[in-house]
Amino acid sequence: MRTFRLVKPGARVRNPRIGDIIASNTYPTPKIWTKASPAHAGTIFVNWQSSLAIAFGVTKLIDSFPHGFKYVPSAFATFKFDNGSLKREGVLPLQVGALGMILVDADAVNINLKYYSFDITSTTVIPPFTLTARYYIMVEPGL
Amino acid sequence: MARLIKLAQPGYDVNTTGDENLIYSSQWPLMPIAYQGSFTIPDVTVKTTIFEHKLGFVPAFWFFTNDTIDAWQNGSGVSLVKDNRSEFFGPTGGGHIGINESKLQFVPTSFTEIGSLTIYYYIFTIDITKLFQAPITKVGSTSGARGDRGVFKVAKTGKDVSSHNLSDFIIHSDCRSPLLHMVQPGVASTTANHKLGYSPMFFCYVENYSNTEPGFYELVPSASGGSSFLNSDINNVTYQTTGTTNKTSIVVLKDPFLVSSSRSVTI
Repeated sequence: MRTFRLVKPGARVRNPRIGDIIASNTYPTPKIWTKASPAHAGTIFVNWQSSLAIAFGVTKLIDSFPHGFKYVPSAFATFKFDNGSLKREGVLPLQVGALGMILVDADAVNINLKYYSFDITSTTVIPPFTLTARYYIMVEPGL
Repeated sequence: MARLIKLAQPGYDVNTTGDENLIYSSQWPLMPIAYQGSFTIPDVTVKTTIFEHKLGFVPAFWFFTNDTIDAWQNGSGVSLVKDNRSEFFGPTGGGHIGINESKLQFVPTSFTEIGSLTIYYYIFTIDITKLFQAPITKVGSTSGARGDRGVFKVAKTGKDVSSHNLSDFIIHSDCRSPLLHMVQPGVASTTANHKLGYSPMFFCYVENYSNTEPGFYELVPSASGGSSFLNSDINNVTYQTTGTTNKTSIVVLKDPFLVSSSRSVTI
């Protein structure tokens, strides 16, 4: 069996410390397919301006598109959130106060951007916000 | 003198292209996966070892959960739709997933609901307690106009290089991989001054974040409330907290894309 291995500059390539390995056919890496359609890396702009209140325990689908795999892939997204008084950037999921959670997930067919409500009153109007979600769908499984 | 190896995306000049158009460079790791797999925690009221990695250092990790029980909420028991799905840093039935030098484990808490939980985990070869900073060559470049014919690919051990399954490869020029840019360990409040000029993908790990298991690092959610919060901008990723001396680590990735695909939704 042949070994393909790249190590950090200055590190020994034979019997390296595991932390010095840049790439090796022993250790796969997360990969994003560049030729997928719809694209497996992209941006979703969400303009939430409605006077919507979402009942406790309900999931609202914000956006969804097919990933093209025959299995559930792994996916995550970074975000920029702005509701006028709160500006945050990070990696989803994002908790929106005491009202709900914005998350991205993958199922057997689609990549989904969702809002899940845990508003115990079920009547609180969600304050308007904008969200930019930069998503990445990986070839590696998520389930 | 150490030699440098770089591989650019088809159509880009390897001598001039920016970070975001490199398939790999020997200056920074590709996020090698040491271990990965699916594991079902049979009872979320019981502390459970998910995987014993025995790497001897604290590695970066990801987890994805398939929610079949209760999710992010304020303590009441309401389930998400029970479909087969995968969510990064998803609901864990109220318990916490943490990692130390030898194992990945699940620890229940007082808010834990009943039932089982299936997770898919990735454990990387990256030591989150060791400082690492990759150089920034540049962002943005012109095409080398060399055409995009040909494929460069390296198959996983035991896999056939002629395979059409992209998951059989560690490197494939039809794919891009997140590239490790920075590991910033710290104590309590920590800032990773990444200087990338854009808001990157990042992951923050805090030792004993949930006060359930000393020595175990947990992923921290973005924009947390209470005494801590996690935020990022084009130059820094910042974790701020008060009243703790817990060890922290921020792992920052180079963005593998100049993303051109976009979608818009109005609600």
